[in-house]
Amino acid sequence: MSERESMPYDVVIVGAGPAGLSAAIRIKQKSPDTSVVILEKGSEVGAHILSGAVVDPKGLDELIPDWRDQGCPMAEAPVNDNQHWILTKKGKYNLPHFLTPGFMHNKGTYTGSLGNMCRWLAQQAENLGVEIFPGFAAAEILYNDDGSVKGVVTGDMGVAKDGSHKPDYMQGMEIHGKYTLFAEGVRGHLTKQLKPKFALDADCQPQVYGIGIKELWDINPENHTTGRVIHSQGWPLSDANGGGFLYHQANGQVALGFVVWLNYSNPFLSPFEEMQRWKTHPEIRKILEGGKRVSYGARAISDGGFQSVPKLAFPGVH
Amino acid sequence: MPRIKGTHTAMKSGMLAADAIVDALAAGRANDELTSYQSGYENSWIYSELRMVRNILPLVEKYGNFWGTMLSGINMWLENFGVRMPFTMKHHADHNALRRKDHVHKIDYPKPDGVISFDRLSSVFLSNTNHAEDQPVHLQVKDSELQLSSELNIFAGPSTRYCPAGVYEWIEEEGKEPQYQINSQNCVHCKTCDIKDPNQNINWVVPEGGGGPNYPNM
Repeated sequence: MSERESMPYDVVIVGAGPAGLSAAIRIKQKSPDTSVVILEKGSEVGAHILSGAVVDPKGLDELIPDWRDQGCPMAEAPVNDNQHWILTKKGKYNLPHFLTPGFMHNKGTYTGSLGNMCRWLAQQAENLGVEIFPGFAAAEILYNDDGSVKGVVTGDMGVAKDGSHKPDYMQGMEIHGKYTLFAEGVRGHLTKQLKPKFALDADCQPQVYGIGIKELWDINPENHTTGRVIHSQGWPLSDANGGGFLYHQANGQVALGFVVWLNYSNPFLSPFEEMQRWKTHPEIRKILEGGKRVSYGARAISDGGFQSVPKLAFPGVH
Repeated sequence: MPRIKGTHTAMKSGMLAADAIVDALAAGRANDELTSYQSGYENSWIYSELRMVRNILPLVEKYGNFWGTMLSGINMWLENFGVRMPFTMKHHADHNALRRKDHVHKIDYPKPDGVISFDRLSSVFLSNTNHAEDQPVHLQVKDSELQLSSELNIFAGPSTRYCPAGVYEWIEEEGKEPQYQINSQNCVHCKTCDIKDPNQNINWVVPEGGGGPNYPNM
């Protein structure tokens, strides 16, 4: 087998999500001559991004303070109505606002597509000279002789099921970095190898997860109130923890979905069917009736929070 | 649960890592451990934000939806007024949570109506997921014997239900051993199988670049 081609960079970033893109932008803002590359396994930036989303603008404010005037699509729908429903089989109770502390109120937040926000961030990054390679998956980690991380190898293209090379075979490339950032998102397959190798989770609790299933609907304009966000708990979940969300976003669309914590114990439980059943609740159905589902997707969510944050830095990395 | 969002913390962690890298490169360093990223995180608002709500999920897990939510409410109010709980509750790995099929009740779900509720396949279609045909399966079952003896025979095949994309199927024909079918081309890269398989017997590796869902504005 021929020697792989290699490309040297100052910084290699795995994953063009909000973390990887923010890192790239910040590096270029502070040090324009530093070379930065981002590898993204999706066919384009945003293709694999799925989130509610309600976004606290704190991060955007620190990274690009005038983001609202720079065409960032997240600016389109400020949250102006925050409701929390407790569902029973046929009805609902509104949880009054005064029962929850201020930091839960979604004041000053925005609702929109995180995928579109990442597309916009990628544009900002490219304007600063960041190289982004969508369609290139980081398949393996490369190590130096001293055990520190050297970079990653992109996956080979055109390999058949049996391992043979198809006519369009293209060998993967080595991407070397002085520092490599793993910003793969929840349960990254390379991060999964790094955790035991560098004992990153030796002093923390195990990470715990949820699965979020989301749909996007074009709904009847009469039922739509841009900026209204609703969270629900209660029905239909009885064998697990979790709840629903329904966000009225720009363009007459609602993003809705359901999160089930993955610590459920009954193997007969189906998060997908819980979500489908949740939509048939009279209060949810009322909003969707006459509308059309236009997109569907799902993504695991990390729920562990504080006590599950692993060690973040190790030789050559993060 | 607590605020259900992490975009701002993801962005902040990227910026903290960037700060550490810029300083290190300016000092002529390379391939060493960025301890200032670790300390940057510990001194950032991510740390204090996460710390404040750290017991909410374990409280709900331990005391159930109703009492757990009540206790979480009390806990949040106390933290809100600056009363710091002197303890941090533990987490338990999700893959250990499943019970044997004969120790639980079956769940019957209503049939989809095709208007408000749908089936898996018509749903996956809307994710625009696509993988180059004829490539190695990126969902690797390490021990197929164990999948049959445990995943199916003890746990009733939970992968056929937790997978939101209909990737996993147990094909049972009379007189034949059940076959585990993996429709990897349907995968939407959610990683739930890698997390929830009771024996940690499914390893999600990356398929050929460009494969996976094509979400427009999700």
